[in-house]
Amino acid sequence: MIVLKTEQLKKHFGEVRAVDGVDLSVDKGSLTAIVGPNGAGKTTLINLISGLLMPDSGKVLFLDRDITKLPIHARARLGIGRCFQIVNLYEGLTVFDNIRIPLISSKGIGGNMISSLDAKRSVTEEAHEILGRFGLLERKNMIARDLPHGDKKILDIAVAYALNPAMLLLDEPTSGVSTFEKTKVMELTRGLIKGKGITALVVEHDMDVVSSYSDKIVVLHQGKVLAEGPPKEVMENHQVRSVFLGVEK
Amino acid sequence: MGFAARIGLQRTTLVTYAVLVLILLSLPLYASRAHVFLAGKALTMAIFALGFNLILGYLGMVSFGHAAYYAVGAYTAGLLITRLSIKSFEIVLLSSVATAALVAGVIGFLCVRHTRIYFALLTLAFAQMIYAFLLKEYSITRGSEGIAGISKPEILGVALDYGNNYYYFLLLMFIASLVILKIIVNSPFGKTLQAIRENAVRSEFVGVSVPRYRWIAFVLSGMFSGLGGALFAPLNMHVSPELAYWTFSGEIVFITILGGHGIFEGPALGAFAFEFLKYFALGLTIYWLIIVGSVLIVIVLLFPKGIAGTLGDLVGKRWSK
Repeated sequence: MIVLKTEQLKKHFGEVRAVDGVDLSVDKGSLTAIVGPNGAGKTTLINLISGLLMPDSGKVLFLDRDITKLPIHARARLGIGRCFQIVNLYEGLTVFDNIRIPLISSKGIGGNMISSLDAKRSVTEEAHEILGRFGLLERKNMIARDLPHGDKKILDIAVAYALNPAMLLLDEPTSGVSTFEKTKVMELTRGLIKGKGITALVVEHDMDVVSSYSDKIVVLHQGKVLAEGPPKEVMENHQVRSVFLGVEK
Repeated sequence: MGFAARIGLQRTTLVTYAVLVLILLSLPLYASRAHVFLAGKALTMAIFALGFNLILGYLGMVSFGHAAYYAVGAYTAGLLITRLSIKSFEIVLLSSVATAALVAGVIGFLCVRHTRIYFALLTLAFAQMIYAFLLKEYSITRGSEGIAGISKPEILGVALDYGNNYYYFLLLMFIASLVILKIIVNSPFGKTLQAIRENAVRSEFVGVSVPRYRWIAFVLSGMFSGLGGALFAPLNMHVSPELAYWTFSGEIVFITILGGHGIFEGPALGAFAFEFLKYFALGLTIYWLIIVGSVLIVIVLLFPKGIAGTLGDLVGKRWSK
C-alpha cells in the first residue's frame, strides 16, 4: 500500500529548479531515505510534502487524498509528522511540556479550557511512556534549551512521534550529532517507527547511515530523481557514484 | 486532588492569596473613601490586566489597542444603565461582555494573522477607530462629554449603591475572574497558547491551527477587558472617550510589565501598584508622569520580571537556602 505519492512535483526559486518534476511513492511501513549532494532539493521536497512550501505545480497525495493545498496543521492532523534539520523545539518549556503539546493536539483536546492539564492522566502517562522510550524521562523537568545537542535532536524526533503520525518526515535527524551518537539516534528512531508501523521518509547525507538503516533509497540530483531502489542496488549505480560520491566513471 | 491543586495553586500561593483577600476585604474598615474608590478602580484594572495578559504573557503578542474593549464594556454598561434604565446588573454585565466579545471578535479576526509590530499597529489602529467613534458619534455617545450619571445597579435584587456594597461586589468579580483565568491558563488550551508563544511554526507542525487559537485567546481577552470596563462605569459614574485612547492602551501594557507578565498573578499586582503610584505621584507633583516613567525605566532595566517575578525569585531563594 502506498502511503505517500508525489506527481510531477515542481518548485522553482527564480532560476533555481529546486524540485523539478519529482515522482515519488512511499510504501506503508517502509523507511525511505532521500539522499543527494547539497542543493539537490532534499529539504525543499520535505517542505513541499509537509506544507511549509507550496509547489508551483504537481500534486502531493497522502493516503490517496490530495493534500497539495492543505495548510501545515491540517496535514499534521491527517498524520504527517515532521522533525527538523535545525532543532525546532519549545525551547523555553520543559521537556515534559514539549511532549505534552503534541499529545494535546493529537487527542484533540486543545480547545478544552476547563480541565486541568496536570490532572489529565492519559496525557501524563503517555508523555512518560514516550519520554521513557526515547531515554529522556530523567530529564523531563529540564528546560529544553538546557539539553545537550544530542538530546535536543532526540527530543525533536520525540515531539513528532508524540503526534502519533502515520508518516514521519525526518530532515537530517543526525545532523550535528557525533558519529557515536548517530548510530544511537538512528537505531532508536528505526526501532520506534518500525515498532509502531510508522512510514518514514528520511533526508540524510551520511551514506553509511543511509545504507544500513533504510529499505529504499531515492537519489536526488538537481531537483530530479536520479535513481531509486534498494540500498545495495543504488550504491552500485554508476551515475549515482559519479554524482554523489565523486567517483569517476 | 483538591480544587486548589487542580487549578495549579500551591500551599504558599494559597496562603498569599488568603492574606491579600483579607487585606482587600478589610480595606473599607480603615481606609478613606478615596482609597476605597482607588482600590475599586484597581480591581477593575486588575481584571482588565489579567485578561490582557492572556495575549501578552501567554500568547507573546503585544496588543496596543486593548483599551478599546475596556471602553466598549464601559460604554455598553453606561448606556444600558442611563438610557434604558436597566437596574439588573446581571443583564448589564452579560450584555457588556457580549458586546466586547463581538468587537474583539471582529477586530481580532483581522489582526491575529499578523504578528509582532504589525499586530501591535493593527490593534492600535482599530482602537483609535473606536476612540473616534466614541468621540464623534455624539447622538449615541455624547462625544467628549461622555456619559454621566451612571448609577450603581442591583445584583440579585441587592442594591449596590449602599455602603461599600459596590466595592465588595468588585472584589467578588475580581476573585471570580482570577479563578476562571487561572483555570483557563492551566488547561490544555492554556498550554497550547504557551506552545504558540514559544514556537508558532512547530505548533503548526503538531497540528495546531495557530490563527484560530490566537483569535479565541484574543476574544477571551477582550471579554475580560470588557468586564473590567463594565464594572468601572458605575464605580466612576461617568465614562468618556479617553477610555479608548491609545495612552490608556499603553497604561495596560505598563501595568502588566510592572506587575510581571511571566507570572499569572503579576498583572493584578501591577494594577494595584500602578493606581496607588499614580495617586501618590499626582499628590506630590504635577510632573507625576516623570515619576511613573522613571519607575517603568527602573523596572524594565533592573527588574524585567516585574514586581511579582522579582518577589517570586526572592522568596524562591529564601526557601531554597
